Amino acid sequence: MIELSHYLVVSGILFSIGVVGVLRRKNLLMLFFATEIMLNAANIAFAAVSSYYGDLSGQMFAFFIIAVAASEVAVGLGLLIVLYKKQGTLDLDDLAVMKG
Amino acid sequence: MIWDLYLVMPLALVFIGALFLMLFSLVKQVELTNYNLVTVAFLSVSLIIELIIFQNVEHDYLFETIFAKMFIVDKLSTLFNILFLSGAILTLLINNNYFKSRDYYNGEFFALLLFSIFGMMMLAHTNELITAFISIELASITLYVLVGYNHHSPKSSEAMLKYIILGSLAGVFFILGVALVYGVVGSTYLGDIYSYLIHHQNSDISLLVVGMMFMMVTLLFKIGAAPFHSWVVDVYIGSPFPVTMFMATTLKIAIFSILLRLFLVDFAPIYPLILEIIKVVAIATLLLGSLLAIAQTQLKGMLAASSIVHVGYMLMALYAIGVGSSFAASAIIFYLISYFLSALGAFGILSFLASDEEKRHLSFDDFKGFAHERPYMAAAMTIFMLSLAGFPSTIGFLGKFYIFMSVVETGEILLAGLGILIAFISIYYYFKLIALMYFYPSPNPKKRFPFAISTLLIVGVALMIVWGGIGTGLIPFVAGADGLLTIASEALKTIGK
Amino acid sequence: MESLVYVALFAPLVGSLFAALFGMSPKNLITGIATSALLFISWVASVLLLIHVVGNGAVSTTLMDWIGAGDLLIQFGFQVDAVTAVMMVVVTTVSTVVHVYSIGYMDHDKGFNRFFSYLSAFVFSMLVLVMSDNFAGLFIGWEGVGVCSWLLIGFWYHKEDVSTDINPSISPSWAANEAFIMNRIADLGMLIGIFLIYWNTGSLTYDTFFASIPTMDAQLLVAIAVALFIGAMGKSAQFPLHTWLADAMEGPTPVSALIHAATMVTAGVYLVIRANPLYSHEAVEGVSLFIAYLGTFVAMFAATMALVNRDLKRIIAYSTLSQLGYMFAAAGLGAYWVALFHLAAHAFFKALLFLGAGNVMHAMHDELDIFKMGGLSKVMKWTYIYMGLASLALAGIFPLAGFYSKDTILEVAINEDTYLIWFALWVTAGLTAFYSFRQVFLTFSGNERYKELGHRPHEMPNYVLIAMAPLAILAVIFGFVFMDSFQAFTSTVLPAYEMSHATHEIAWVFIILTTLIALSGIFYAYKKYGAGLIRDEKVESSFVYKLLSNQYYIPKFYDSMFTKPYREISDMLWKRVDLKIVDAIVDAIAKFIYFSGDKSRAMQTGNLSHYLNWMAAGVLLVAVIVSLSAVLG
Repeated sequence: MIELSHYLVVSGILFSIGVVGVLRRKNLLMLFFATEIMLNAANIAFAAVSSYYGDLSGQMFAFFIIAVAASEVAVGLGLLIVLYKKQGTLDLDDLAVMKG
Repeated sequence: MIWDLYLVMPLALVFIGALFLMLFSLVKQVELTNYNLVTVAFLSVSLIIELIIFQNVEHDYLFETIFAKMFIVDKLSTLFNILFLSGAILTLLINNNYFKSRDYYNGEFFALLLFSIFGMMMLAHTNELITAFISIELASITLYVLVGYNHHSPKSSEAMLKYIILGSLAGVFFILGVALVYGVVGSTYLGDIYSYLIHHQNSDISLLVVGMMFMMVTLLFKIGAAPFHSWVVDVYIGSPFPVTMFMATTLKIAIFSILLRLFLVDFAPIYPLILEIIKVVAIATLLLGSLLAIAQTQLKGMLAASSIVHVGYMLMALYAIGVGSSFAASAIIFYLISYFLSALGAFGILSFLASDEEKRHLSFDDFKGFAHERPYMAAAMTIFMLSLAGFPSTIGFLGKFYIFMSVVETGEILLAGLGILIAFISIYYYFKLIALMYFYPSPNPKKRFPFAISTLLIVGVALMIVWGGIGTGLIPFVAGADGLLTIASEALKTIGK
Repeated sequence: MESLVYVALFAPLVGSLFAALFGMSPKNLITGIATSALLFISWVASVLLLIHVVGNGAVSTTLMDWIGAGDLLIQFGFQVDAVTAVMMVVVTTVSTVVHVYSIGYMDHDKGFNRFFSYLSAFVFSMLVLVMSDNFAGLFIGWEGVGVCSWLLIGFWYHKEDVSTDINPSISPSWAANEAFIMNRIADLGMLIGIFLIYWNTGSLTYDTFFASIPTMDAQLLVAIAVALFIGAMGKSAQFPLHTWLADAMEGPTPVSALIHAATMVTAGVYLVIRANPLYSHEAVEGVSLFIAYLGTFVAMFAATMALVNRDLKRIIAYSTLSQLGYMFAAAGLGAYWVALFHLAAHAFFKALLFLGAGNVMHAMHDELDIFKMGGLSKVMKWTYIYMGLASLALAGIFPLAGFYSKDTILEVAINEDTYLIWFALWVTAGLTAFYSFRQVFLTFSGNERYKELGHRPHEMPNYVLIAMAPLAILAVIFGFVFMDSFQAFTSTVLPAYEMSHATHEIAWVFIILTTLIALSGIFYAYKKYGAGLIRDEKVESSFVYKLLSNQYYIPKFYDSMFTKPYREISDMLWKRVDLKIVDAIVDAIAKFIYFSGDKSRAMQTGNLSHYLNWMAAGVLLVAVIVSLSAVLG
């Protein structure tokens, strides 16, 4: 029987994959993917908890999060296109020139 | 129902304004000043209603039949909304010349700004974690765009890039935290978390604590506390001046509104677990921020880095709340207001200058002899610097004074001592500017004081700072500095548990 | 009534700020007119307050809680009782006149606007000083007038050291610094007094302190009394802190009239009068008697220096010093209302005297040596009349103001059986009459010596002369019109001082004696100088003359005792200690800060992947701390 804890473990694993992706990947597009993975990890957790409590609001939250994630990515992709047009690369280390 | 409509009016106005400007911006031949005026008009009406609401609101939920207890309306949220709105109005009015001097501003800019304010206002009203997340993201995503608005400048794009990557990562932590909290408590309402913690004192709450910790991380990131402060300087330097000004003054306050709600109510039962974090983070923020501020060569960078230090002071007071100080929470609100005014003025002068002379990079050297060139602006700048440094007879002094008193009250003399030491160090980088302005000859001839809305507003802010610092009672019917403290504590009282 | 208090208090501040707006721009007549008008408003408010206080008693108001947190509460409160009301009217009267006068006097000065800003700021500080209901406010005003006085004495800071045969070589900036430093020395005493009060009563308001006097330890009271009086000595230039007052004459003449005659220097007397419950306490009797004797000594000591001085303004400065001595003598003997009465009368005629001297200076192109004047009465009739009247009042001739106030002080000395004080003050009255009229005759009558120097003196414009008229009228009528009502009025706050029956009976004898010595002083001056200057080599080379004209060699003594050794010590400290040790430490700290700043900049690489790593590390750090507090806590 698949219980709540299993879902939460899956969510945790996904989240970790996302964190590693964020830390290790140098391509901006991959960075956004990694962030998406983490968000979806949270979505799984919400959906699982929602069905565990029999409370629909959790699943509703998941939809909201998907919407938020989509808008974030939309803005992010817009930026990526501008950057790629200007710099011809999406590599993190090449893009950052400013020193604080 | 009517009452609810009345309470929701300010929010609705800002939202409608945003939509209206979105559509309006399709009309190409409208002048920029008109967009600005329309925006200010929407914001002003909203501000006026908000001021009226502040007089007679106690503790209400918006459309309770529809949204349940998702949106709270109390004096605290109204007070914060007043700050956002006045900050935005001042930003827009002071920067009118700047908008006209650059070619990349258009109607959408104002629509986005309004959406951002809408997000912040929602955040101040929120009584539920998912709503909080959505409001934070709404405010942030629009800000990402605003930061990168100068598409000619690689710096601006880079700042946006850093902000969006780091910001969305931070956002993810928040939502994961909420998921964990939801998993344990079964609800995402702020009050429910508190009652769960009170009723389940003996059960295992580690998952809940981890969730709350993740939420803390996000909030600490958004206010720019160490070790999550690395974005602040780069983003502030990279963004266009009006956006820097807007971010520095309003965004921080917005995050503090939810931080205070969470900390005062829901975190109260687990203070022993999280106070150490706050303390360590506060100390690290103070030290790292000071070091960064010393090293900056650009004025904008210095102001950005010093804003990190100011967050450190407020975290000190946050710690004092947990240890049991009676007025630390009001001290934070007072400090927010004092910082709001000082930063608004300082950034305002910068953007005024940047709009005036295209070439200015606004490094420290550009301010050599500034006092001889523009004596009144230099005097106003001096007041802002003195206030930021916490010099007596400015509102900044009282802000620091209340924070230190609240820390001393809890018996943490060493922490207060560190704060005072940091305040002394801050004199170095603030007074550097004052010295540059006054002790060098000016390469340019003396200029007349330009009478415009922007300059008059800057002078007005400077006067408010001095007035707030010297004290009150001079002008009847107007609350003064100590009046603000009373308002703050009154606002805090209306937070329901 | 509270609003009147605020109007009186803040009108000068508004004027000052307004004038400051024009601080850096060229002369603008509006600053002079606006500040004068605002001061006039302040004067009207003060007079209305005085009338209110006469009818209804004291007004008190709390302006604000400046800082309130926890147990600490610092309040700004003001009270207007009889003493304050009198001081306010005196201060605003003289300063209004001086403001109007200055419009004419500073006409050609580059710093016209700046001058009015300082002048009004001074009046504001002075009002804070007299109106405060606590020692904290008093001290703020006290320091405020100190700073303004420093600014105003050094107003012509660009002037070089000029040594003339009658002046020691001093520059305005030197004089300003001297005044400032001397006052800081004294303020230290005052601060100690205030701290003592705070420690022992937990409050700084006058009422609380006075109420707790009966329960306080005698020695403590003496300590407080001495400490406060040291502060008063500095501000009122009592021996041995008196040298700054004469040097302060380097400032513009209206400043001398306002600050160094009528208002600021009387702050010390005001303090003693204000703290009368302390000084009249039996435990403090010794201190009070000392004050009386010191005052008497200074009265005589300063008068002797004035006898031979040739500098128009310095003579008046010494006479101020001497008259302050009279006030302290009266206050020390317990006759507080008499001291206050003399303070007010003196303010009027001394300000008039100074402004008259200003007219003369203006006419003579800043020439101050009275030996080079003479015969000016022909061209400056009104100034002559004013200065003559003021000098008559100063000499104490019936029925002018000085007669009433000074005579009462002498009567007090008799009444207290302190015959030595009476005698010294009586002799001083004669000296006063002599030196005042020596000055008047040398300046205004006799041969016209100025013609040799090629001056073409002229009278001041009419509005300046008219502006001086109120002072002249007050100098004449203040005594016989106001004395009785003044006594009755001030007795609501101050202890009523009544002469004994015996004193009353024989008072007329002493009045005649005093009048006689004053008249003979005037007569002698007339005989000697009325016809013109006749210099007597033998007298001028005598030891006494030299001693007096060198001010008893006290400035020289200070120079060799304090200034020079101090300079040597600091020179040595600078070379040995500062350069080698302190500088090294400061450099090291600066290097460390820069170094660590650079290091933290290195952390700020600008590289996004580093930032991401930092963030992950931060989350880890937070997690570690939480689990540690969970485990340990």
